[in-house]
Amino acid sequence: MRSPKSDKIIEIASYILLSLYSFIILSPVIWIFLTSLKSLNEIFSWPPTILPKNPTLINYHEVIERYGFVTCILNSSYIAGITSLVVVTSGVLCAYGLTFFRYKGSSQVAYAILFSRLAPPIALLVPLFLIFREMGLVNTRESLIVYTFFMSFPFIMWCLIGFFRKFPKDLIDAAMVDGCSRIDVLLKVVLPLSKGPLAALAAIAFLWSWNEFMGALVLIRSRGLMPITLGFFTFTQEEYTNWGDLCAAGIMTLIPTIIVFMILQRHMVKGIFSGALRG
Amino acid sequence: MNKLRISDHTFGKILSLPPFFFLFLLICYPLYHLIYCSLHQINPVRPFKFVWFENYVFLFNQPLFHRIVLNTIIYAALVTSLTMSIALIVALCLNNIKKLSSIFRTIVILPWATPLVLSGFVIAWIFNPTYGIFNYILQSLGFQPINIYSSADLMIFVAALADTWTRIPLACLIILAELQNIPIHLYESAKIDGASSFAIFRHIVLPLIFHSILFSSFLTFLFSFRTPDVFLSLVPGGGPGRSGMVLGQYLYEEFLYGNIGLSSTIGVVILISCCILGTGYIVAYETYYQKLVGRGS
Repeated sequence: MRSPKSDKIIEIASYILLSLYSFIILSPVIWIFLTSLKSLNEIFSWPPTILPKNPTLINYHEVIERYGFVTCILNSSYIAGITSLVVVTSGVLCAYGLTFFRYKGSSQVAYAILFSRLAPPIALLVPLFLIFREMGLVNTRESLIVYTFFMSFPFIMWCLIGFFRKFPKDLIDAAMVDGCSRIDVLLKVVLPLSKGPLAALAAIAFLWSWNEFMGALVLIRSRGLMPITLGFFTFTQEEYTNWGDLCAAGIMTLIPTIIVFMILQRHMVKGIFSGALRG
Repeated sequence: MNKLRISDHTFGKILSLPPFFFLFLLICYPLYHLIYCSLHQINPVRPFKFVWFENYVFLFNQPLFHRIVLNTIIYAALVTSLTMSIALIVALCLNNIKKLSSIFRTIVILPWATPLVLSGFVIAWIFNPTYGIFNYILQSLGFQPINIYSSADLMIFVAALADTWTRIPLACLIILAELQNIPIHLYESAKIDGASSFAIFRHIVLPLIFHSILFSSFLTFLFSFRTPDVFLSLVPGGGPGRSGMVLGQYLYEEFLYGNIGLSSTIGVVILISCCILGTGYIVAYETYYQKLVGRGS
């Protein structure tokens, strides 16, 4: 017989390992945050200090005033917001059609959408750039939205199909018998019951579009249209020794994603664990 | 009843086909364009013309290209093995604990929200030859400082660390979701039979989560194989003699110089590799599944 003692040991070991891992995960973030509060002199002092001696917001001021990071954040919010809205709306409609109203070839369509994610985005970027240039769409935020749609739609749709398949079919049949139209069923039965997973998937689409970098690098040129990842990148290329400003910029890149993440993390974890990821 | 009422099949088609065709167009037209460009000579200095497979011949005869392909494979393999071993341990730990589990989960998923450019920047800073904390620790322990930019292998290893940092959460979540689907009575009956913890892991847990491990390894390998974000922010220019580059970075740099033909050719190479990887995964999955069915479980 196994004693409960060995269970206890495993549990304690798990806590220790997880704390260690959390430390490794968090320490770089905390460190850039602390550095962003230091003056340039203090950053280059040797030996390095851990806590800032005179915390200052001068780096943030610099980044916002001189490099227009607020515009970048607005651009990113626009791109990520529209993408997540479009992806979730079209994903819900598409998955609703594919799971509840099957037709000949519907599962092939579902697989084709999933497998489209196999196409490497980086290889499609150059021809997309050439096509967008023909259409006069290069250097617009909308071109990037098209690209981020392609990046996130297959995954989101596939998660939704996984979720809808587990949806109690009786509820839908009952609503149908009661005289609901198919759109009514979607709006009044399916959607209210899948708020959590939908919020989670919207957050995932938002974060992916927010973090998109290669697409922005190829498609967007002018400073006023850059999303924050690209803004941060060009900034690191131009100011590669100005660590204080860079750290402030890094924190500003990270903060919006962390806010979204914190608001929706309970739904995210739940939504993902409710089996949305399996399929 | 309304005579105009459409059938369920048509309704399903109306809902699902428009996004499908949009996606289809969004992928197939660029793919056609990519292959078209890779068969032409398109660069700023020479005239535009159809050259058959000259771009491919040029690419495959270049020693630099061999080096880059090797780099990419080593890099993806390194990221996958690091990610999978850490993710498996973290997932098992998360599955074992009861208190504080939501806090730990949040921390574990947090790197997923981090842009790769940022983690590349952070790691570049940690390993910075002059100011980095890594060299500070090395020096205070009495070792020689290391300059990662001096060796391509070292650069690839450091880039793999940055990538691993962001890839762990997804792999971990996939494994954890599968772990939590294991019915508790399986553990309990094994315990009553006197199985040790290791035996339970080896003979019950591992076979049940094997598919999720396979799936997340495949995803990690695929994503790190084709994503050069970390390299772009860590080592602009590709290190000594461009020998520390990966395929995606090579593609982007040739695109920057205006060599559209050559960069499309690299794109086709990446595309074919991804297709081979995908097929490989499906074959591996099918064989595994057949084995399961054959065993009758």
